[in-house]
Parts: sequence; structure tokens; C-alpha cells
Amino acid sequence: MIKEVFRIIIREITRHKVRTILTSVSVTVAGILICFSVFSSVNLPEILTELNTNQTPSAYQVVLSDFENDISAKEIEEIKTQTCAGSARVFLSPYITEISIRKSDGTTEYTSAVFVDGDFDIYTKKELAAAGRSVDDIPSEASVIISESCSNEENISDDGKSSVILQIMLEDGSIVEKDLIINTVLDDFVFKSMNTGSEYEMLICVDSSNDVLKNRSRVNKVVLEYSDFNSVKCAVDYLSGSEFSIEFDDQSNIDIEVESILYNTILIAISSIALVSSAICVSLTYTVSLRDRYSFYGMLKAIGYRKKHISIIGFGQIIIIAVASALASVLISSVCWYYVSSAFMKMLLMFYYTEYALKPCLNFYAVSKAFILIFVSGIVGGIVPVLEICNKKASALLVLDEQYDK
Amino acid sequence: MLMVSELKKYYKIESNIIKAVDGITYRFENGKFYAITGRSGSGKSTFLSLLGGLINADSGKIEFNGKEITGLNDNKLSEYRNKSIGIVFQNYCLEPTYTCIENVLLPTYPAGTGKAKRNEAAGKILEYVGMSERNNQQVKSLSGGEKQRIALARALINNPDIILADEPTGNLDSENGKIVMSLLRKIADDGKTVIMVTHNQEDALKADAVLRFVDGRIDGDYPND
Ligand SMILES: Nc1ncnc2c1ncn2[C@@H]1O[C@H](COP(=O)(O)OP(=O)(O)OP(=O)(O)O)[C@@H](O)[C@H]1O
Ligand SMILES: [Mg+2]
Repeated sequence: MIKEVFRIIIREITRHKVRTILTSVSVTVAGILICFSVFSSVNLPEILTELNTNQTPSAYQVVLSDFENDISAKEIEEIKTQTCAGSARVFLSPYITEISIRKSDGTTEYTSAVFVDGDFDIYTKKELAAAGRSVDDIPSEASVIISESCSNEENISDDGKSSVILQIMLEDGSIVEKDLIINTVLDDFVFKSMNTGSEYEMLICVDSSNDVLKNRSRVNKVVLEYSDFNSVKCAVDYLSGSEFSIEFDDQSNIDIEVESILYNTILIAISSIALVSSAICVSLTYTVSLRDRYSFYGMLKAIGYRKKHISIIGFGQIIIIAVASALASVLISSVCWYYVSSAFMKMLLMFYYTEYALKPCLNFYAVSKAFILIFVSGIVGGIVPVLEICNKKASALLVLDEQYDK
Repeated sequence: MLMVSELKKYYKIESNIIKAVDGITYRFENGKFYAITGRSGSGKSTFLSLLGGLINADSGKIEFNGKEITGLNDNKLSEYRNKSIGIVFQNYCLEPTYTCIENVLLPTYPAGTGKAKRNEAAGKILEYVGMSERNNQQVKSLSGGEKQRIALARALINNPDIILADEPTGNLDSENGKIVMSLLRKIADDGKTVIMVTHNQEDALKADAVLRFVDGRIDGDYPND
């Protein structure tokens, strides 16, 4: 019985070629839209992060999540926990650096992601003062304090200097030291000083007088330009592939939540329109094609097919077409998504300077969610016409009665 | 045995009530061939549809072998149509894109007949109606008379007790009409009850009894000699 009914279903599908093609195409087209909406909603937080980060970097704190093996995770933890009152907190990895300045009262004055390659020190004016020095003491392009010691064979230069010690000077003038082993060194590195408007003034310098540091050229240019405190642009010619996550402060979390809701609503609207239009299209093509076959189903009923059988035959067709269309949409969209999203990424990169967030994001959850949505839209449209033939009496379906149809 | 008592079916069109079947009581004996005649609109087809469980009666009773058909639920009614009766329509009601044997086999699926058994039965029945050479020919390429023989084969495949035929020769020329009539005769002779609606007097004479319908009632039944 199952085999025979399945054969009837396949014959019905192949006999209504126009219907089958129309239905599949409409479901597939809508399905691709649904896929893109679903796929991009998976990527949405990352995209928003990306955009927000570039617009108002002062609002974010960057936390390293991917450390190169030069510094162990444990070491990083140690560095992270070194929070000194009124001092700079500096996390360094060979490629990514996080800088956050904390006020003595514990509030964060400024945090920013800075892509540098290792060796610099940060002082606040106050700290310098506490150390009995002033900004003026520091030659404009000289380092504040960069101590170098020999710990990396590979990078030993003529004068035997290859690693850097990061020093954080506390208010009381004492110095916390951290060894930083560098395997790449800045080529051309300029940080301009920045006025935070508070007593904290940050000066980040690289020892450009140090020929050893200056002449190692593996890392390209990093420039931060601070036009004013609220808008910071960062042009990065070269960044390593290291990843990091970004944590938001409360205000930007709210902003992003609002934006998330907005974008999600747009995506849901697109999906719903696609869903509804494909369901309507399916419904229309089914109504027409099944009406064309009333006498067939009437005949089946007259010779003893039950409602159950008729509904299996009716829904079987829809299910097969819906599954096929959903598969097609998911496949096509998945393949296209890579290109669409990377094109999108390229476009965004014309306005923003980093590229870490907009990766083609496809996961099992997104694909199955899209599949189910498309499948449902394909089925929903067919329910009414199929139920109609299921519930109509044989005599009503058969041509017999047509003469009385008024 | 098929017992019909006080069977009524009215249609309401706008404010008019059409008494399509208006209180018919009759007893159809097993293995006999009945012809139903009457003017157009006298309720013959409606009556046959009632017997076949294709439409529900407004009142009255149909009993088949002591079991009441009126008031059966949907599934039981389907089973009754599938196993106890075979229906033949004037316009054949075959699936034109299926082959002869595929059409004939259609009623065996809901009946749950095993593959070997149904194929054997189909072969026999196609031979019975004289169509065994056309097994794998598509129905749409058959002549009207051949189609009606396939329809008869389909009606017979589940070995029902009753064959209901609504003007089975209505679309056929006299030659083909004769073939179908002699088949129906043969079916009755082989022990099935055949109830046939016809406008053709000659055909009616082949039956064992003729029921004349007038305005939804049996005006009289005349046994043929
Ligand atoms: N579904 C229906 N809706 C409304 N009226 C109907 C319906 N079926 C039958 N009738 C009416 O019932 C009456 C009997 O119809 P029926 O088809 O049984 O006649 P008939 O004897 O078979 O006629 P014919 O010889 O032309 O086939 C007719 O007046 C018809 O208009
Ligand atoms: Mg009629």
C-alpha cells in the first residue's frame, strides 16, 4: 500500500509539471530570502559590534581572547588582574593590545583597542609627576621607559636586546614590571598624545631612537588619529588574524540592543513577507491544480479511498515539493551566502577599517531554522486546498454533480 | 440482498424543493439484474448514488445483507464502497494517464490485497472483460467501449456483491453498447446483483426486472420474461 500510494503521489507531482515548477520556484525564491534573513540574523550581533566599535571606540573595552603562544594565557590573566589604582592597565599580546585607563576611583576613563605589536609603556601625567618626571622631560619621539632584556634567542640583535619589559608606574612611584617577549617589532609607529580633558594625559611612545626596535620591520604601519575624544579613527594597514571579543559598557549595550531589535524586526518582516507570499503562491497553484483533478480524487473516493488515503496523497505531494524546495533554497543560499556576505564585508570595509566581524556565518542552527521555516511556508499554502478535497464528498468531486453546480 | 425502505433525498434550490428521491421502498434480490428507467430528472442517478453511499439520504434506510448502510461513518462507508459494491459511470471515471491494469488495481490498495493476489485477480478480471491484451496500454488511447470494460473490471476487482451502473452504455455506439450489456448480463448470471440505470429500452429488456421511475418514486416494476 505505501509503495503504491507513493507511486500515485509521484505521478501526481510529475503530471502537474507547471504546478510543480511554479510551486517549487516560488518556495525556493522565498526560501532564499528567508535563508538570507536567518543567516544574517545569526551574524547580526557581530555586524553591530563591528559598526559600533568603529563609530565610538571609546565606549568599548576590548578583551583579548586569542593569545599567541608568546604569552601564556596564565600570564595574561596575571596582567589583567594587575589593576592599579590611578594607573594604566595594559594588556599586551604580540598582536593585539588592550589599553584601559582607570581612574583612582575605579571608573574607567578611557579604553580603546589599539593594534600594536608589543612594546610601549603608558603613563599618566600624574604618574609621571609622581615619578618626578614630566611630559616635557620626554623627548617627543622617545620612549618613556622601555627596558629591554635578552630573553628571545631569535630576536637577539647586535646589542643583545630583544624583549621588552612593560613597566607600569603606580601613583606612589613604584613600578610594576612585566616581561614581554616580542617576536615582531614595529616598523613605523606613531601615537599622538591625547587629551582626555581630565588630569590624565596619556602618552604612548615607541623608542624610535632605539635602532634595534626601529629597524625590525615585520609589522606594518599603525596610526591612531585622535581628532577629538569622541571620534577616533583607526587605520590599520596590517592586522594579524588574531581574534578578540568586545565587551560593551552599559550605554552601548543598550544601543546595540535597540539596534538589534530594529534589525531583527526588519529581518523578521522580510522573512514573514517571503513566507506569506510563498504560502499564497503555493495555495493558488495548489487550488488550481487540485481543482483540475477533482474527478480523479472523486473517483478514488467512489471506489473506496478514505479521507486518510486522500490526505496522504494530497499532503504527500506538498511535503515532497516543500522538502525539495527547502533543500534547494538552503543549498543555493548557503553557497551564495559566502559571496554575498563577503561582498557586503568588502563594501563595509570601504567605510570601516577592520574586518574581523563580518565573516560568512553559517551554522547548523541557522540552516535548520531556515529549512524549517521554508518547509512550513511550503506546507501551509497547501493545507486548505488539500483539506478541501479531503472533505468534499465523492459525488461533489465527480463530474457527475457538475451539472447541478450553480 | 439490498433492502431500501422509505428512502428520501430532497434538494433545495433557492426556495424550491426538488424531491429527487421521494420515499422509495424496494428489495433487490441477490444475483438479479435490475434496470432502472425513467424520464430525465426522475431521480435515477440520485437513487443509485444513495445505494452507492456517494450521498447521504435525508431519511429512510438502506440495508445491505442485514447491515444498515445509511448512517455509517465515513470510513465504514468507504469500506462498503470499496468491498461490497462496484460503481460504473456513464463517463467511465478512469484515470486516462494510467494503464488499464493500473486503473483496475486502484481499488485493491485500500482493500489491502497482497501484491500476488491482486495481480492475479487483475489478470483474471481483464480476461473476463475481454481486455487482457491491453493490460499495459494507457486508458486514454482506448475506445469508449473498451474504457467501459476497463471500468467494469475495476468495479469487479474486489469481488463485490453489487454492481451499480449509471447509464453505462450512454456514451457508446450500439455495437459497443451490446458488448457492455452482455458483460453486465454475464456478471449477473455469475451471481452478482446488477443495478443499471438506462434510457435504452433494448438494454432494459436484458435485465431481469425493470423499475420505472417517475418523480423520485418507483412507478412500477416489470419483470422481463
Ligand atoms: N446535487 C444536486 N443539487 C441539486 N439538485 C439535484 C442534485 N442532484 C440531483 N438534483 C435534482 O434531482 C432531480 C433528480 O436528478 P437525477 O440526476 O437523479 O435524475 P436522473 O433521473 O438521473 O436524470 P437523467 O436521466 O437526466 O440522468 C433532478 O431534478 C435534479 O435537478
Ligand atoms: Mg442520471
